[in-house]
Amino acid sequence: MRPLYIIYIALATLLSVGNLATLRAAEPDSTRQKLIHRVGIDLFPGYVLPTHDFFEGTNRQGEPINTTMSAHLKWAFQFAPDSYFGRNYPHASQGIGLAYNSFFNQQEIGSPVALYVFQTSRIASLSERLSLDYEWNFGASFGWKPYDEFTNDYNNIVGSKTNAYINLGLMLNYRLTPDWSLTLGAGFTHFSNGNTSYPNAGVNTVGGRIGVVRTFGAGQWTPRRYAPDPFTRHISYDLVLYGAVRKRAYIPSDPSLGVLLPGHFGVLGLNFNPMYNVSRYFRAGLSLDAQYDESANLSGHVVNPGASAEELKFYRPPFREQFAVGLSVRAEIVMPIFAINIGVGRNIICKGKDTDHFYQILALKTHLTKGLFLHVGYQLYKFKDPNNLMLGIGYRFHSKR
Amino acid sequence: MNKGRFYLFACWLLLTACNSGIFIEEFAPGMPAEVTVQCGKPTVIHFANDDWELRSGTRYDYDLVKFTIERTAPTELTILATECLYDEPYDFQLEVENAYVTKSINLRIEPGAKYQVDSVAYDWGNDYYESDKIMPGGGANYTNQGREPAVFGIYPFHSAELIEQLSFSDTSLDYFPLVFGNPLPQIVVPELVDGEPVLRGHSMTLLPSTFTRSLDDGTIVRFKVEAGETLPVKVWLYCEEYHVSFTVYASNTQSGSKRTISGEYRYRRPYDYLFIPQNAIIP
Repeated sequence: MRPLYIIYIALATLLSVGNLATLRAAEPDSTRQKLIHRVGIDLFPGYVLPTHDFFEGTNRQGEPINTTMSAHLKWAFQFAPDSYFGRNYPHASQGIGLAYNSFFNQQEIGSPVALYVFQTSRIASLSERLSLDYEWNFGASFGWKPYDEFTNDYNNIVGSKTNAYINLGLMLNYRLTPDWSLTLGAGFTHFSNGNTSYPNAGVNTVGGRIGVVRTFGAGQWTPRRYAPDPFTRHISYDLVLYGAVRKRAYIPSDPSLGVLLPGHFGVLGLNFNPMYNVSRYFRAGLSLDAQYDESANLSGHVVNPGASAEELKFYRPPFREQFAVGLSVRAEIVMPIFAINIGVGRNIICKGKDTDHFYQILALKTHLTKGLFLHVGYQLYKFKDPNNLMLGIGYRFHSKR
Repeated sequence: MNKGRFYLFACWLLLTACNSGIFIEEFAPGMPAEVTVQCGKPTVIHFANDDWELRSGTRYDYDLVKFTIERTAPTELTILATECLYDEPYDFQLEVENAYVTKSINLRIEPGAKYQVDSVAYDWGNDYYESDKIMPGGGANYTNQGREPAVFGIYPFHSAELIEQLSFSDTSLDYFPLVFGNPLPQIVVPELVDGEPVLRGHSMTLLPSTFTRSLDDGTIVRFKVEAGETLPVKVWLYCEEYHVSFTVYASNTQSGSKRTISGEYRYRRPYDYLFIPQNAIIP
């Protein structure tokens, strides 16, 4: 993953946590702390899904790679109960985490360190002290050992030293005391680079999680629930402009002659997504998606077929073959600062096999102001194969939150 | 956060990502596979950019077709055909290339104007004339198997022919119609008057050719063969023969080119005979 993307994600993290937290935390009562802070430690023992024969034993050790362990150190904050977010999202907390991951194969995979933002909230209260919570993590992981034809030729899974890190988990949260909690659950983790480098088969793990959380400042609040603000159902309109880079392979009629093209190709897109805000937690709608992919449909415009990867040249395809407009159905889970957008769509105006397909979108929106947000997304096809990242900025019009 | 700065950042991010190094501009998009060239009129082929070189030569100067190919501007190629003497269009494969691709364009050069004869100059100073050339005119053995003498007759001019010939060195038969077109031009050739060549309108077609005319006027010579004898008879013809070299000067009004063609005119005419044995002749 290119360093510029890491800067983008880090900026998004810091700005969102600092900026909007400050804005939204400002409330009339200044005698109590505006934020409740939490520090936690987690351990994630896991199982590496054998999605590639590298994990099944075709590696330098000759042994399956099926176990992983990660240790997490996290800092989170929760908005004060009498604040806007505290009233309307009383159980949500969000923050930054740092994780050390081991796959017990330092030579071929490495031990990447992940820096991420996360958010957790309650799904259901099971008893006075016990609740079912969820948590998602999103960030970047550094320190992978990527594929190298001379020194790391078995590892045709990871193509870059830096990869995105995504985690989704469910856990039981038991409050020992108002300041201490234990967590126990399970989760799914995905590492990949969004096709910014090849290979990019992705690393996927499932496993358990156990942790302990120390809360600071919760005791100053009397245990009463503040009534949420009235919510008006309404339609809001999101406009997103995004860009990314990606790699592309050229596969001629004889697939054995396929080569990875040098350099990176640009992607630029625009989404217009009206959504009906059903509740303060959920909205859904249709999206008009336009995207230009500089690497699309090159195979029909080869100048010198049969040349090596370094010497292959192409004529620029017509704009029509590299630009597509699609329609997607979107659903969005809305929480403080962050919203997770999921979509399934189909290109309608398109030409060529590289654009004539269904697509899926998974995106994280990070609000900087009430209307302005950062967009970090992933476009997939066949629900698993990465197409390109979607890094950009958006604005929400007509929001009545 | 400044919204404008983020938009600029996004655009800059995309621009730096664009993989311009892998793309080349097609230097001849929509180039036709064939281009027709008219003699005397420059034909210009336009290219989309200057990333190309001419792989073919620049000047073609054949005997029957002449044309030049010149890169007159970074994105222009000019073809000028000055002469095409073929009766059908002349096809030539023009090739242009860059580091990655070679393109072929068929140039179809349309037939142009033919040559016309301006003048014919005879080399009178080196002509050849012989008035008493003798050549065989025929003969046979006549046998009288009878008991009385017999009279036989022979036509001495039976095989006599007037021959006029135009010959040219290093030119094929189809050269003249290609150069001069059809119908071929006529050139005035000399006639012999009292052994002297005179130009007075007698013409022949400009083509390697031989014209013959029989001179058998029915003249008969009667001779006697005694009974039981065989008489060998020979006829000889007296001929006058004339050779002269000439040069044809021709020009092409369309191309302005000039050509010379060298040839020789030959003339032979039997005018008398000699019968042997003369003593057998019956007057």
